[in-house]
Amino acid sequence: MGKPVAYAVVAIVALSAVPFVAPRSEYAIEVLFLIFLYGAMATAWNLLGGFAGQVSFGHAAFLGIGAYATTIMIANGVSLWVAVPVSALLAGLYSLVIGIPAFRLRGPYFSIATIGIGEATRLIALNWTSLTGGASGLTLAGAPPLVQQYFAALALLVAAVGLAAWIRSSRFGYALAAVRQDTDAAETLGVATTVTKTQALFLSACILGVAGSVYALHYLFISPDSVFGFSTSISLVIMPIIGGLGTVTGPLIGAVVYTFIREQFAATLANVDLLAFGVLLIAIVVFEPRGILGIADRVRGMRRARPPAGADA
Amino acid sequence: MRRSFLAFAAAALAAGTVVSSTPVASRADNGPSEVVVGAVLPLTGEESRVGTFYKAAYELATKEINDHGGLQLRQYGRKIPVKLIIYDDKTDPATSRNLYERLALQDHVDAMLGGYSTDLVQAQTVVPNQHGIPYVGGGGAASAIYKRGFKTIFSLLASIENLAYTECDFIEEMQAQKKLPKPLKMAVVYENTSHGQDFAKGLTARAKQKPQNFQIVMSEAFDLHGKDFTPLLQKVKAINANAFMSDAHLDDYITMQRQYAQVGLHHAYLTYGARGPEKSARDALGKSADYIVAAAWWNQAIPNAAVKAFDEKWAKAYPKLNAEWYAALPYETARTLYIAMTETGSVDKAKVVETLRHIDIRDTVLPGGHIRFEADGQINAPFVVTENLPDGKTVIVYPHAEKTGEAVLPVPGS
Repeated sequence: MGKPVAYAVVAIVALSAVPFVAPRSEYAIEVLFLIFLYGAMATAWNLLGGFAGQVSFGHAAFLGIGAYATTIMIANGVSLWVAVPVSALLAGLYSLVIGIPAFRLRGPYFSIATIGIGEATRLIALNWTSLTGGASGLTLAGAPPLVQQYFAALALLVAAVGLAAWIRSSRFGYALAAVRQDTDAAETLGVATTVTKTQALFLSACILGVAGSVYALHYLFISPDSVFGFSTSISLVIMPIIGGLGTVTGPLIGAVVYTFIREQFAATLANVDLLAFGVLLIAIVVFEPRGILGIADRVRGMRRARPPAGADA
Repeated sequence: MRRSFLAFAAAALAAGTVVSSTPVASRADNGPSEVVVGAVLPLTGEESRVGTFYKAAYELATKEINDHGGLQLRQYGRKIPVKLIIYDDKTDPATSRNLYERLALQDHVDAMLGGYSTDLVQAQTVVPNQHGIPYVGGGGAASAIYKRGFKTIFSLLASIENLAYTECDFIEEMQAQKKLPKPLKMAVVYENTSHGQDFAKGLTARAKQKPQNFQIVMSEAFDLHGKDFTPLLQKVKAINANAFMSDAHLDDYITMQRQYAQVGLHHAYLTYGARGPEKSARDALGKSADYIVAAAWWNQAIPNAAVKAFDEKWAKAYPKLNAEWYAALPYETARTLYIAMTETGSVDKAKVVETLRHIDIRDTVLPGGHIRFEADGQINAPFVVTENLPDGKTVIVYPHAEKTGEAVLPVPGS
């Protein structure tokens, strides 16, 4: 077992202990749950947006499909153990349907197309009333206990980050990096760029499909605007940028910052959270595009470069 | 990666520690030191105009209680002040739901007051239901909210279907007086929300029931908080309708009516559902707001002693805010909760819910003055139909018990 894995195991064990160490701190458990859920969602987006450099503004579509599929299946008596993987698969299949034509576009054209795809998906859900309940949305009768949701979200996060770590050091990960750096050059080197991007989108969508299931079971009420909304897609983009685009743990760190700012400021100081996100994003884009992880690297680099005390100038 | 993971774990634990550090109101043997009541309102975003009134109304009702020492709770043998916590959801359903969760888990509220607008109320009401916390709202009228079997949710807003039926009753009366044609050909446009769908459903049901009175020649939904309704209004123009029946929220009503006038539309009967007499809308629209008919949950002109008293209190507390239905309803919402808690004599959540289930309050500011909830938690109170007249005047034209003037119909110049 390598050191990174050992540290990850320690972190997972520590986080797993929280509900037992502080069982009455339900709100803390709720906030950690949100961090895990957002962390998994941001990690999923990062597989395509960070690793492959294909910035999508329509990823809420996959979250929504997962949430709706799970809610509809559970309401019709399907077991949760069946509903969750089927939801993931449906989100994955939907990604293939939209990915194949969308990947004919590149760069900003692809990003603009994803806005349209996200909005079109929301409108379909809004108007397919017989299936989705339309604007009235769908409500689940009851949620699993918060602690069970907590562990489900933690497991999803671990799986997402684990998958991202594996991809990063795999042949597939190198292909994604090549696509990100120069699509034409990658093709010249023999990378099937469209297939590679579609595979990344499929994996990303499957994770978001499961995240949608967790979301639906936690929020109990879903409507087209709440799960397919553009603001959801934007939050998926913000978190990896804050933490570190194209890194394994950056989206997770972004999720911690995002959730913490939202939970602390949203309730007490109206719109200060939006101001904080704005300032943070501008600062990151201008000074350190690699996000918080990039800042951490810089600080480490400066420490190493500093001459030891007493050394000659 | 290891450092990042450790940083994440440390940050996550720190976040958890900070967010769980707010103290809970201390409870001695003689009851809590304060009764904690929470609400989440759209104080910013699209619904902020109305959300601001809700906040002011909740604060006014709470101040009245605290000025008299608090709620008299007989189980503890003393008066206990009310602490009102209000958060801003920015008109976002997910944020609204999360903040209600915060009220439940972090602030440990004894009861909740409702938010505003259908989509937010739909999302937020799962929280009090899940935690068994009494919730009294005055901001979500769509019947879908109350058909989910929730046991702790109560609302002072009567259903939108009833609103549509009330307007139809009024139209029938106008038809009997030969003021409106029979059948009335209606162009129905409605916001694509449960609210709007209920309105369209009510009109459709009545048109099926009484085809001799009503005929729907167009029925089309539009997206909430729209910016350009001109294509929709051009469609309406192309159809030979006598009545323009729209269901819209305040911002959409203002935008749509402005464009209605620009497109050059004229109908014998013009309504935006519950919207019409609001001062902010009339200021914005000027003469084009004249002759709009509305069916509302409340109006300042209701000839009732409780309304007059509320009107005076409101004007004194908030001289810059005109008393609208979205001032009176939340005020009465908070009062209803406080009356229920006083009648219960404790902050026991299940007991307060039980009291609300059977509560019967008279002499309120609502039309008819009576508050009693149906089995699903929603009130079944009557509406008042108003008509805007020139020079900023508004009269109640229906029902007869609350009538303050005669309807001017068909709309002059139509």
